[in-house]
Amino acid sequence: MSGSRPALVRPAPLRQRVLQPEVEIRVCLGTGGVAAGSREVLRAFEEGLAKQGVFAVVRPREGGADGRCACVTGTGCQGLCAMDPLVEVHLRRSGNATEVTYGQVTPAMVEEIISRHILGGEVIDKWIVKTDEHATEYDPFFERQEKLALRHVGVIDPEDIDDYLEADGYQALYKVLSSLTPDEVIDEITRSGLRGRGGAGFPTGLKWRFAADAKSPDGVKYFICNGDEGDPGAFMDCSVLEGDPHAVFEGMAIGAYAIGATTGYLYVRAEYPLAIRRLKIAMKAAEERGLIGDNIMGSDFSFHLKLKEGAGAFVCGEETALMQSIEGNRGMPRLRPPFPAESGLWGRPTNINNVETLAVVPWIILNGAEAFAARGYEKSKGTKVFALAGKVKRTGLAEVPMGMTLREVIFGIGGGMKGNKAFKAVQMGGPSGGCLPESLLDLPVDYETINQTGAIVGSGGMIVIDQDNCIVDTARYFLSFTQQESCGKCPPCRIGTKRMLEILERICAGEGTLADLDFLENIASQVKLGSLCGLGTTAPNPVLTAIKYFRDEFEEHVVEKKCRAGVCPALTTYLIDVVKCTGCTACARVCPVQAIRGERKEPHVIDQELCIKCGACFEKCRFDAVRRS
Amino acid sequence: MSAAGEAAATPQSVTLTLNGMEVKAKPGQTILEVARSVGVDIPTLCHDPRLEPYGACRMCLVEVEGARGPMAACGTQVREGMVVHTHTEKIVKLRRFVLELLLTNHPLDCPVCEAAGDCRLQDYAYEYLVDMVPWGWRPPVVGEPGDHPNIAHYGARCILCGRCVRICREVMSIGCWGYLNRGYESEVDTPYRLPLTEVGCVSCGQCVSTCPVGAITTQRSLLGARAWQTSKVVSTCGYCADGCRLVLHSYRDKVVKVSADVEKGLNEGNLCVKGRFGLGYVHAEDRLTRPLLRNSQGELVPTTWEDALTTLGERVKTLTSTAGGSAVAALCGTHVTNEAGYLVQKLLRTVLGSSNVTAEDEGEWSAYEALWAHGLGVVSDGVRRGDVRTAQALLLVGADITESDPVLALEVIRAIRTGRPVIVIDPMKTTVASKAPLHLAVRAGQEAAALRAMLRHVVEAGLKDEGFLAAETADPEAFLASLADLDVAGEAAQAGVDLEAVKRAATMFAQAASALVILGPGVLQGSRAKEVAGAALDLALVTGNAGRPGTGVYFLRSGANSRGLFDMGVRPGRLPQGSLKDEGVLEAAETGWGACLRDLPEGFGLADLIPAIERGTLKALYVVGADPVLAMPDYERTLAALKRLELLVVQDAFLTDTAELAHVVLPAAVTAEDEGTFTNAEGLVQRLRAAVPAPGEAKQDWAIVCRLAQVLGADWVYSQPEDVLREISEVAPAYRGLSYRELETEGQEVAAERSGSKLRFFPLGRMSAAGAADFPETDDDHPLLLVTGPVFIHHGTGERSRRAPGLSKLLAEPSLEINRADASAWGLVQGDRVRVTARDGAALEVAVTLSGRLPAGMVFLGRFSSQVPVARLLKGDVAAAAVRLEKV
Repeated sequence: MSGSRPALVRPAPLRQRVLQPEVEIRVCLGTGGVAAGSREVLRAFEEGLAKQGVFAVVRPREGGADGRCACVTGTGCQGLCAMDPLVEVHLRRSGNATEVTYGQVTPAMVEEIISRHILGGEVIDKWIVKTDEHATEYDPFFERQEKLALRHVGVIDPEDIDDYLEADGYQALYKVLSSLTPDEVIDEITRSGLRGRGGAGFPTGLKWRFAADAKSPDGVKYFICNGDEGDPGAFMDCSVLEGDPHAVFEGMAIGAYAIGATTGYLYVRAEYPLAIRRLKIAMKAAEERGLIGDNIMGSDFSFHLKLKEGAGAFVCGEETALMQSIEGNRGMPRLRPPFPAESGLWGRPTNINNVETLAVVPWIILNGAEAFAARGYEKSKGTKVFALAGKVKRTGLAEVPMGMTLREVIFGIGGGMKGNKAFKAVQMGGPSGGCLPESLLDLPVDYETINQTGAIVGSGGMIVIDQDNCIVDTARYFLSFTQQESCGKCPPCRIGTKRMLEILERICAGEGTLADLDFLENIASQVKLGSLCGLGTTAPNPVLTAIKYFRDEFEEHVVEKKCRAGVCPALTTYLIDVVKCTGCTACARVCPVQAIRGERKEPHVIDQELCIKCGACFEKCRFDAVRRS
Repeated sequence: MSAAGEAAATPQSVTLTLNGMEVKAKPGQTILEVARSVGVDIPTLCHDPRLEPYGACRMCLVEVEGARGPMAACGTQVREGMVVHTHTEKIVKLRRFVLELLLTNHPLDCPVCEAAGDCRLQDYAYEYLVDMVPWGWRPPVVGEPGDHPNIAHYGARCILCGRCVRICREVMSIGCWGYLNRGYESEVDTPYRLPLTEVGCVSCGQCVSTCPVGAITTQRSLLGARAWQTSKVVSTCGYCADGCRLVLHSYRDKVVKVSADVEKGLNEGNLCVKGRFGLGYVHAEDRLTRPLLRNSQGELVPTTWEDALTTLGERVKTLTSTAGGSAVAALCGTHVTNEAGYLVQKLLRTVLGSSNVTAEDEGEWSAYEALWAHGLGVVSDGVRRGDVRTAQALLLVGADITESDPVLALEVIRAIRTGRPVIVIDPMKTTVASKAPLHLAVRAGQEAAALRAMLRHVVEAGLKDEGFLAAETADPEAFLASLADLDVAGEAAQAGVDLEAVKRAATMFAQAASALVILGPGVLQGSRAKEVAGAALDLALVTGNAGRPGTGVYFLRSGANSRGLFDMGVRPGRLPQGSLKDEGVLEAAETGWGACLRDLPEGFGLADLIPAIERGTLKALYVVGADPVLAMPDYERTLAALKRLELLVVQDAFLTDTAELAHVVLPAAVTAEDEGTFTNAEGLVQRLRAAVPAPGEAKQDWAIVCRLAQVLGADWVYSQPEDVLREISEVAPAYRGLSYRELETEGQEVAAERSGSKLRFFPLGRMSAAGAADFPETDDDHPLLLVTGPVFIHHGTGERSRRAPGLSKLLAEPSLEINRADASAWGLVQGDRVRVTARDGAALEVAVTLSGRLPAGMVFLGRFSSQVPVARLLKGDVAAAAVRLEKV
C-alpha cells in the first residue's frame, strides 16, 4: 500500500478577518448565557452601538468598512456561568489593546458600558469579572484552568466555520489524511493516554484498535459520537457542541479514518435545541467546504455525517441503547458481548465516543500525544472538563488537568461555598456516581482513585451540597432520577430501584427503621450485581456512598426521626419563637397556605395542621424568630 | 482458499470447565447451550432458542472466572479454557432476588391460571425457595383476557421478558406486541392497546407458545385442563404439507391443547393458526359416528358396519361383475395417511383390478411428472427445509407462502430479515412480496415470461455457471442456442414487469452463492404449470443451482400427505414401486403383491373422472377423505356427474357436500385419532399418533380399507398400520428401511433420487405460446379475473377448518377481495354484497373486502366455503375465471 497519496488541499478560511475592529464585543451565547438573557444583551449592544453613530457595526468577516468599526459576536459558553451573561469588551486604540469581561450584564447596563467604557474609556469596576488591569475575585476560576477540549469554546463564533479554520480548525484532519496511516493515528491516541470522557474512562486508543481490527461482513463500519449527555447538572458536552461543533466533527472524522468507517452518526439529545441548531449550521458549512463528505480535502477518505436527535430517554446515553435508538427501535440496552466494536449499529463494527473525548482529539493530533500525556495524573492523562453546580460560589464549566484535588476544584476554581455555608458533600458523576464527604476532598481527580471511593469521575458533573441539603433526600433524588429513567428491560433495575426508592421515601417520611438501612444496602448490592447495563449497575451508587459516608445522618432519620437539614418535611417542624417575633407579618404574608396567624406587632403562631414545611417563613424572617427542628 | 484457511484457524471444539467438569463444546455455542447439553439446568425466563439472545431476565447469570461481573449464559459464547460456575451462592442469591422482585407484582392466581403447571416463574419460585418477598406481596388485579377467539392476554401476569414482542417481530416479522411506558411502568401490549385482530395478528399463537408465564395463553374453555392433567402424544399436523410436529394434549378423550417442541421437528416449536388452534373439528358436533346407508326413500340412515360393508361388498361385486373393475375409481384427500393410501391403491389394483386411483391434488403434480425425465429428482426431490434455510437467494413463483405454508414461510421471512435477496414473482402483492426486496408483479398467468426474461438476461449478462453447465447438463449448447431468439425486453413486456427489475432479479439470483426456487399452487395448475416449472428448472440449471445445499426447486404441496400419496402410487400411472412405464417396476410389483398388473386397463386421472362418469365408463367412486364437489372446477357439472354414479362411497369424518350425495358413508377417524405416517412436501416421513379415540363407531381409514378389502374377498392380514408400513418399506424403494421404530423419535427422509445421468433442459420455446392461452381472458362483459388460492386460516375446501371454532371464529366465510381502485369503480365499499357472475352465467353472492394485495382487475375468493363454493365459477384446470360483479 505504498501508492502515492493524492495531493491534498489544506483547509483554510475562505473569508479572512479583514479588519481589526476598534471595538469588539463578545457575548456568551451558551445555553446558560442565553437563559440569563444574553441574546437581549447582544441585541442591545448592536442597537446601542449603531445608535451612537460613532461606529459602523459590522460582522468581522464582512469587512470593507472604513473608519471606526465595532463588531458584536456571539460565542459559546465562556465558562463562568454563575456570572452569565458574560460580555467581553475588546478595545484597540492607538496600538493599545484592552480586554475586559463584565458579568451578569443586562440590557439596561449596556448603555452605560457603551457610554462610559467604550466611548469614555472608563472601565466600570463594579461589573468586572476579569481584566488585565488588576486582580478580581474571579481570577482563580480562570487561572487554574487549562483548556484543551474547550480551547475554542467561548472564544470563536461557533456559527462561523472560518472562525474555526482560523483557529487551526481541520488542520489535525489534514495532518492525519496527508501524513498518517490509520494505525499511526490509533498509536498517537493510545500514547496520549486519552480515556473516554463519557464516564467509563475506557482507553480511547484501545477502543479504536478494537473497531479497526473488527471485520465487517460488507466492509461497512460506523463511527458514533454520543452527545446524549443526561446527568442532572452536567453540561460539558452541551457547551462543546454549542461552542465548538467543528472540533467534534473533526475528531469524528479522524476517528472514522482510524477505524475505517465512512459513516458517522452524531447523537444529540433533543433537549439541546441550541446545540442541534449550531450543529446543523456547522454541518452544512463543513459539507460545503468539503470537510465532510466524499474525498475529504481531495483525499480518498470519505466521511458522511448524520445528526440524530434523541427522544428524551436518559438510557439512550448507554451505547447499545443509543444504537437501538438510531435504528429506530425503543431505546433499550442489549446484551454484551457482542461489543459494539464487533457488532454495533445495524450489526456492523461500530465505535462510539463521547463529545468531549472527540473534541480533544484534534488537539492531540496537532500537539502530539506527549503534550497531552504530560498533563494529568498516573493513569488519567490530560485535562477534564467539569461542570460545577450546586452550592458553590462560582458555578460553571472548568477544564482542569486530571489529578487536581477535589478541594482545589471546589474551593479554588469554584471559590468555595455559596453564602459561606458548611460544605457537606460533592456528588461526583451524576446519578451514576456517588457523594463524597469533606474528608475525601484532598483526593486527586483520577479515575482509579475516585472509583475506590464508590463514586466515579463520570462525565464530569460535580454537584456541591451544603448543610441545608439532606443527604437522604439527595440520595433519594438521584435514585428517583435513575428509577424513572430505567428502560424496564431487566428486573433488578426496573423493580429493584423502585423498591430502593420506596425505602428511601419511607426514611424521609420518618417511617424508616435501622433494619431498613441494611435492607437498602442489600438490595442495592444486588441491583448493582444483577443489572443488564450501566444504568442499573451504577444506579445504587449515590445511595451506597451516602450510607457509607453519612450513615449518622441516615440513622438520625430512622432513630431520632430527625432531618438535620430540615429538608424532609415529615421530620421538620417550624415554630415561631414568641420572644424573638416582632410581629412584622412578613412570614404570614409569604406563607403559601396561610398557616401563620397573628396580630400585627404581636407574636405569630404556625398552625402545624396547615403547615406544609416549605420553609418560606424560615427564609423570610429577619429576626431568626422562625426555628426549624 | 481463504475459507480453508479460516477453517484451519477455527478450532473444531473448545474445552471449558463447567461446575468443575471438563466439557467439550462447539465453537460459537453459548454457555447456556453447553450447560443444557450436559444436563446442567441454568434457569431462564427470557430465553427461547427461536430468538436472539436477549439477556433481560438475569436468571441465567453465571460466574465466569476472570470476568468483571456475572455473565448472561444465554448470550455468552464459550471460549477455550473458560471456567464457569452456574450455581454459586452469590448467583443463587441473585436469582432469588430477581424472583422476589418479579413475584412481588405477580398475581397469585395460580389456581385459575391457564399456565399453572407449565409456568417457569412457578417452577423457579419453588426451586429457589421464594416463599415470601421481603417487601410484601402486591399482586395486581388480573383483568379481562381480551376477545380474541384463541389468544388471551392477561397483562397483570406479564414479567416483561419480551419473548412475545420478539417472537412476533423476529420470527413472524409482524409486531403485534410492543412495550408501553418505561421502567417500572413498562407494559407489554398491542400498539395503542388495540384488539389483536386489529394490529395485523395472524393468530399463530407464537406468543402463546413462548410466554413463560400465564400472561399470554390460549383462551379458557370448558374443555380446559392443566399440564399435569393431560396426556401428551407427539403427532404430525394434518393440514398443509409442511409436516409440523405437534404435541397433542388430551384430557378425558378430548384434545384440549396443541403445542410444539422447540428442540424437535422441522417447525422447531413454531406453528400456525391451524396447527395450534385448528383441531376443534375433532370434537365437532356433526362428526359421523355411524355408517350411513341410503335407503329406498333416498335418505341416508345410520346403520351398522356389518350391514354397511355387506351391502357395499355386494353392490361392488355386482357392478364389477358386469362392468369390470375399471368401472370403479378411488379418490383420496391429501390428508389420507401413507398406510391408508397404499391400501386404497392396492385394493383397487389387486382386488378390483382398476388403475383408476388418484388424489385430489393430482393436477398440481402434472409439471413435476412431466419434468421428471429432465432430472428433477436431483433438482427437486432432495430439496429440504435446510436448503431453504441456507439458500443465499430465494425466488418464489406463484407461492403465496404465508397463506399456503405458514411455517415454511418463516424460513423465507428469516431470509428477508437477514438481508438475503428474496424475489417474488406473483401478480399479487403477497405478504412476502410486501416485505421482500424485489417483487415482480407479473400479469396474471405470465410468470413463465418473467422467468424466461430472467433466464435470457443471465445468459446475456454472462452470469451463467459455465462449469456446472459443462459438467452436469446434457447438451447445454443446444439449449443456449434455443434461447437466441428470446428477447429480455420482449419477455419482460409480456410479463408486464419492469425490465430493470427483471435484470436485477436475474443478477441477484445468479450471483448468489446458492439460490433456490419455490414453486407454489399459483403456478402448478393447468398446462402452463409445465412451462413455469420448466423455466424454473432451466434457470436453476443455467445458474448452477442444483444438486448442492441451498439450491434446487422446491414444490409446495397442498396437503399433509400430498407427497406420500404420490409415493404410494395413488396415481393411475404410478405404483409404490415407481412409474408404471418402467418394466422393472411392474415386475417388482407383480412379484411383491402376487398379482397380475400388466393386463389392467390404463387408468384415468382426476381430469377424466367426471367425463368418464358422463361417458358411463365409470360407475362407482370410492372417495376417501376428499370432497370433490367443492374441490373440482365446474360445480354443477361435478354435482350432476356424481349423482349419475351407481355407487358413491364416501369415507370421511363429516357429512361433506360429496357425502351428502353418497350411497354409503363410512365414518372415519381424523388425524388426531389416527395412527400412521405422513410424508411432507420435502419427503420427511413422520408418525401420526392417536391422541384420542375416534367417536362412536368411526374407524381409522386404513382399517376401513382393510375391512372393505376383506368383504371383497381379499385375504389381507394387517393387524395394525405398522404392518402396512412394513410392507411399504419392502415394496417402495424410497421408503426402504423405514419402520415405526425408526420413526419413533423423529421423522426420516425418503431417499432422494440421485441420477447419474446428466440433467436435461426443458425446451422453453415450444411451450411459450401454449401456456399463455391457459388463462381466461377478461372482456368488457366480464372484466375482472377471479382467482382463488390458499387462505391461511383455512385449508383446502375447508371440511375440517370450517368446523374448528378456533378458525371459524376468525374467518367464518370467505369474502371477495377486490382492489381498492376496482371497488370504487364498481361503487363498492367494504362489506357490500355482490353477485359474482361467470361467463356461463354461474353466479355466487358474497361480501366484498377491500384489499391492498390485489392488482387492479383481479378479485380473489377463498376456496374453503361450502356456502359460497368458488368451484361454481371455475372451468377447466386453472383456478381462475373471468367474472363481472353486481351489487345486491
